[in-house]
Amino acid sequence: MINEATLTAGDDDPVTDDELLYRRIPESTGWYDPRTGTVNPEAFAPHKEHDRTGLSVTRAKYRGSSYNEAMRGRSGKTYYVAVLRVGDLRKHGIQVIARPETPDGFDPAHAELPQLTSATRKSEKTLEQQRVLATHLCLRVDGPFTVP
Amino acid sequence: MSTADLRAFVCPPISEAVRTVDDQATPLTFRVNPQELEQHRRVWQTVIDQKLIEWGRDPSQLADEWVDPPSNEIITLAIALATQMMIDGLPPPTNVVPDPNGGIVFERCQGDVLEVFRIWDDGVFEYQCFMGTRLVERRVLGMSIGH
Repeated sequence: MINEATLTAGDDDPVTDDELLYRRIPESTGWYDPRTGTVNPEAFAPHKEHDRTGLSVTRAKYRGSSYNEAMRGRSGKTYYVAVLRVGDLRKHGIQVIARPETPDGFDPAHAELPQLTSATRKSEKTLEQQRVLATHLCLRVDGPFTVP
Repeated sequence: MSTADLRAFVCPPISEAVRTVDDQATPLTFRVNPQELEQHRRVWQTVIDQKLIEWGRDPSQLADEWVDPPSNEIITLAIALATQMMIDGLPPPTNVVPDPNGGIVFERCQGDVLEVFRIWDDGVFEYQCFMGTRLVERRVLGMSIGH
């Protein structure tokens, strides 16, 4: 298991096209249907308070596994984890940037999609990009994982 | 909100695709037989009972990090609208999900066309129509009382 404490990501650690990203999906929302394997675009909808600078995603190389990503959720809750490739997003015009500084402290795994923000959450472009992410760019969805 | 506004919940491409010579006056939405209407009503009632009312009964089931459950006002609005659409005989949604900000999204998918009836967390509700991933139509249908 990767020791997250020994990993660092500074300003010179840009997100590369070959990297994978994780997006955690709470099972209770119904944003992932395991019967059909479909992801709902609401899984990529910006939060009105917490995504002011961009939609949060996780750099997989700093988390080790989708299971580790799920375990960062709330105790007692169950999650799926959508997996995407950075290069695929960029090919569709969706930017991805490293953002290790978070309100909760330094997290080298934290990245953002800066075009999908709290301020743009109702815009046509954001609604369309959500749909592209959900229907075209998810490589797979792992889980379900329940946090003890 | 008027019934006429709710009946706009049919995208022109869908209605055009199945328009028949002998019945061009009746919108697609209403070209259903009594058995279909009854089936539609049952599905709508399931949406109301097993999703909307259940969410209202226990909003904490939806609450999560960066996911706000719908408020009682939004749930009440969603139930009222769903009930009206059921009464009007509109086809039921293929999916109903919350958004992360306390809104509710009704979706109806037919091939490459997706119709969305969305209630935002601020009480504004609108109709959206997607062809694939492209938003081709968007209309604000109204606002709830108090917003």
